[in-house]
Amino acid sequence: MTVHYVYGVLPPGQAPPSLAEGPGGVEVQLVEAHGLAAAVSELPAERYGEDEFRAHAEDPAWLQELASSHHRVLASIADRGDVVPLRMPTLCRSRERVLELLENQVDALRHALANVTGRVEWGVKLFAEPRPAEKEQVRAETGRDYLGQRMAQGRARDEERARRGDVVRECHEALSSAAVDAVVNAPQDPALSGRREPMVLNAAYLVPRESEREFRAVLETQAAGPCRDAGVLVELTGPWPPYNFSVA
Amino acid sequence: MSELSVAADDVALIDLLDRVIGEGVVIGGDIVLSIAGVDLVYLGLRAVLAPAHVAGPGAIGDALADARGDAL
Repeated sequence: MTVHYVYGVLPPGQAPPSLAEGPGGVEVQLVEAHGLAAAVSELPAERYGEDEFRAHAEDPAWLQELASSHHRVLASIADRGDVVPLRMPTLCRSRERVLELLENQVDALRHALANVTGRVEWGVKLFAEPRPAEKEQVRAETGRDYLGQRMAQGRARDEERARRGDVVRECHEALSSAAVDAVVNAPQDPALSGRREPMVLNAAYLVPRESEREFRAVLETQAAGPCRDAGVLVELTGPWPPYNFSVA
Repeated sequence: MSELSVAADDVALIDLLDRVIGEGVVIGGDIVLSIAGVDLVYLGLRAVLAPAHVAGPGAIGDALADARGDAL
């Protein structure tokens, strides 16, 4: 028994120079129909079937391996060409089912493909730098002094937060202007982001290949200027296959 | 430039899962094996990793290492 694992959909005839291997080194094939090509691997059902996904739903090591394969295959296509990523996992019972999928979704997939053609995704995360501890210290002779200083600190903190909010918004607007589309996702939990600083923006931008340099220049300007001044740290990831912009 | 760290080759698990599970075209119906439970995958993973927060920095790596250790 095998399942057909579908990574994504690309234009037919856009054979990538080298297609990465699927999980366990398995071959990736292109199944073409209706002016579309699906990147597919035939995988053993006892290792990658429906039940296995359920069984490993909370197994980071298993998911990481599969997510890495999924991404590696899509990235190998997106490296030079266009691709609409499908959500992991998209499993079909047979090759015929893959053809049916292409047939049934032909309009949506063509539309999604047109939307991402010649474009890549860049991820930008902004983090709020912790406030220096010395700013929080209070040295007061009297209770009145103490209260006054604490209130002043509270006001300063509010102002700082508001300024930071403006900087984050302006940064996102500047990046959006340098992109053709933008998506703001929920911030990642510090437990998962790997950083102690709270995430204040978790965004993805769809950028035409010919404007990538310009997009990065905009980000660098923001990072070195307003963001640094307001204590906002910038992290750029990418280029990604257009995961955030492939809604068919 | 120090403000900008580019991590294209060194993809973080969370960024990867955010994208490959959280995003991408969702195709349902009879053609695709129905995996209703997989929507819960991400939540499940969060549940696995979130307690690591208490342990401080490096805890995610530790949690993953533990998970791998358990799997062996």
